[in-house]
Amino acid sequence: MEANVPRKKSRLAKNKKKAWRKVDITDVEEFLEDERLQERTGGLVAEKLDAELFTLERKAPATATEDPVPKKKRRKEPKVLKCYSHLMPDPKIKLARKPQPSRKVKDKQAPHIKEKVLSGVKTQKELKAEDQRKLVQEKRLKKDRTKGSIVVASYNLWDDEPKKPVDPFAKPLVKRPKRKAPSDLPAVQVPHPGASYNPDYEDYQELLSKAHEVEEKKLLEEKKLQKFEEEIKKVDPKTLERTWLSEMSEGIKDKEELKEEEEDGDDAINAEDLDRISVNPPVRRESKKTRTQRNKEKKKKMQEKLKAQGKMDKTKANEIFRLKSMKAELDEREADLQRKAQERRQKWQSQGLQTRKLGRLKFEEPLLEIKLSGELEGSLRKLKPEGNLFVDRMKSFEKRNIMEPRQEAKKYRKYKRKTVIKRSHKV
Amino acid sequence: MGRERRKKYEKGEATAFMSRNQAINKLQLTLADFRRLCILKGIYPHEPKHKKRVNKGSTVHKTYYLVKDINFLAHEPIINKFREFKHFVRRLKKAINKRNKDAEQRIRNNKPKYKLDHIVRERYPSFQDALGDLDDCLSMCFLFGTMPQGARVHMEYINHARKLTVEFMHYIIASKSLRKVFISIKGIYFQAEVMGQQLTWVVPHGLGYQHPDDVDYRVMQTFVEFYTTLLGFINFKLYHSINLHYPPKLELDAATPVDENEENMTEKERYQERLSALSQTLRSLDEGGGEEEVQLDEFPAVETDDPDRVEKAKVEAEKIKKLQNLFKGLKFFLNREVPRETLVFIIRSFGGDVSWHKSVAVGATYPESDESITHQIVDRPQTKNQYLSRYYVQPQWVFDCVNNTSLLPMESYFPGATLPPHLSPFVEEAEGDYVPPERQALINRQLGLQEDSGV
Repeated sequence: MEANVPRKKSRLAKNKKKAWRKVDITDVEEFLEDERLQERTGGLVAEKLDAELFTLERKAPATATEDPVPKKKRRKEPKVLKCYSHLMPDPKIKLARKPQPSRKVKDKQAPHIKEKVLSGVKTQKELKAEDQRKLVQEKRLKKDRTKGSIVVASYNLWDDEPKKPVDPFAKPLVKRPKRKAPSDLPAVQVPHPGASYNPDYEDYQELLSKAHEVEEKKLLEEKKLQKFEEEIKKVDPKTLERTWLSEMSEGIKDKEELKEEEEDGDDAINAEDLDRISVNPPVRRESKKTRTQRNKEKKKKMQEKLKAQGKMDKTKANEIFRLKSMKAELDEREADLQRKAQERRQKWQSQGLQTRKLGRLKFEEPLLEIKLSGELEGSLRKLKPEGNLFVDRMKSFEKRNIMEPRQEAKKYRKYKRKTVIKRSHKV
Repeated sequence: MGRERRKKYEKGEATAFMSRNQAINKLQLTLADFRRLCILKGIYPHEPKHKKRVNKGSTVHKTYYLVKDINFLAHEPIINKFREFKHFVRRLKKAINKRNKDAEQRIRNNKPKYKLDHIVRERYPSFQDALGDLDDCLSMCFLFGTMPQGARVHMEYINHARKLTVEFMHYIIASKSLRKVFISIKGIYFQAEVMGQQLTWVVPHGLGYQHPDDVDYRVMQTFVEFYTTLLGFINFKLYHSINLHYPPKLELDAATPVDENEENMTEKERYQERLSALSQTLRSLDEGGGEEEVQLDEFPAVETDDPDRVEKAKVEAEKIKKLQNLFKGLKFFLNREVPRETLVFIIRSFGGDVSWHKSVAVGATYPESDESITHQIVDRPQTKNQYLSRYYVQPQWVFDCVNNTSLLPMESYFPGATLPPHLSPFVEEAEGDYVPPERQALINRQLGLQEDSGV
């Protein structure tokens, strides 16, 4: 073989892709791309004439002062963004109208049925149905739509009709428990004649005196209270405190007292304890009673007893002479019994007129309605009503034990209200 | 063999009474519902004789009810209605808060209602029992009829109470049962005799009336609820007893032309206004009978042939007949400042004719210029006495005439004159009591003696 044959540079094989891959052809590609671009955008520049590419400027450029730089206009941002412009309908393109289904009732009925309906002849069934429809509508309109529960009385409640046949499976009616009337007082109490709008002098004075009595009682009570208050004020606060302390600490032993007791011991009876413990003097043999003494005492007792009995027998034997006085005594006793029975009967009867305490609050008599003599007008036109009938009715119920006196429930707060100012709210 | 140890508070009073809270727990009601139930059923608290025994040693003040009463209450069907109402309110609130208008309408239309007929029947088994309790009922209904709109009570109760009281007044007019009247500073007291039962009731004064705050209106409303039902049934029975239509029908309703005031009213309102005017007569059930032939209270057959008693009864009957026709043939005209409704009621109850100026209220039958008017009621001190054919008197004349069962001389009642005192007709003087001179004079006049004859 031939050694040292100068190797020739491998030549580019133009018919093989593999070979071409090894060659760098970027510059050629660039030139060709540029040519294509020129062709795309306005023709090959090499083929263009000079006049197309270049111009000769013979004039001097104009100075800046001739055309002032236009102010920058603050263009209003268009409300409609341009990017959405393709969404807007093109006015030049007309809408393609599609046929919508019509809402009119289509003629679904067959022609022979249509004829029947138009002719007006109705079947029995149809007529019946119409009548019934009317009835139902009337019923619905008549339906008792009273807003409240007020119904007019339309039948006799106390009609003594023959009883309906008793249903054997019905629950037996519960009987109302028989109770006495809560009070025997009349429902509407007739007023005192002095309460007339134009009263007679005497009646008016009587009523005034009644009102006067009530006021006097009130004044007395107030006076008592005032007196008591004055007495209290007289006492010196220091002495008051001392006496209070001593009273409150009754029975409580002080420390020193306890110590003393321990020292004394259990056997010795202290001077203090004497009045609490009942102590009998010690029994001595000398003061014992002998048998004779006891017998004597017994005899004495017997004698006294016999004497007493003898006396009683005598009085009994002589009672026959005391008949009149005995009768008088018996009569007196009977009269006494009758009087007591009468009192009891009256008390029993007045029970019906009493106001009972039915609840926590006490019944307070209503204030006496009276017009002072200055306020008395003789005319009905000028009369200003005194007292209130609502209050009067309520008091009447309370007086007759139908209701208990009531007080409006006070609204109170369980916890005290606290006010807190927010930190952000700086004063 | 030994009996079990008897413990305290197991027998006797301790087991007969129950406190209010215990009762509420037993019946499973709220306090308001329990109160309403007690008022409707007429169950009242009782005071035990020995509170300590009932309360197991403590003396705390409680309200006690009898155990038998509470057990009886437990059988009342209205309790279920109360509970239904509670559920109704709950559902309605829910619908309103969720702004569900359809549901709200539907629920409102189906509000649960209840009737009190069986309770009235059970509390008053006979008509006479009901009449005995009518005083309270009438006073409450009249009082509620005067309440204005916007008061704490539902309007329907007020209207219903007013309607019933007007019907009752019509009955009294038709049956001529009114006997005594008295004007006090609190109100006007009436006394009537209906089917042998004496009824007394109060009517408040028309003007200057205040509605106080410290009254529990809910309690009063419950009372009125019951009393209106009772009064409705009583009216029905009373109307049928004198052969009148109930609900009342006016005799000349269709004939009277529509007034200017009435133009803007509905049919119902116009009818109600005319009825409450009390100026027209009612139509009776049987045509041709009418209210003229109302029978007086028949006295029971006097078994004793005691001539004195029979005489007395006769005299009484005569008196009453005279009273019933006190104002017969007289025509009155009321001025504006005078309490119209009371006077119309009184005058018509005693057979008189009455009218007023048509701008005051509906139902005026004749104008002021009518020549046949015999009396005009005025209350002002000076009047332009236009007409000579009639007497001008103050309203107290009417009341005093009624109380004295005769027409009094009118000199002391002329306008501007100081009136004689208005005496109470409810006072019955015992022998030896002090009698005011005026009353003595009137009694003498009644007895036919001369005036100024002394005590």
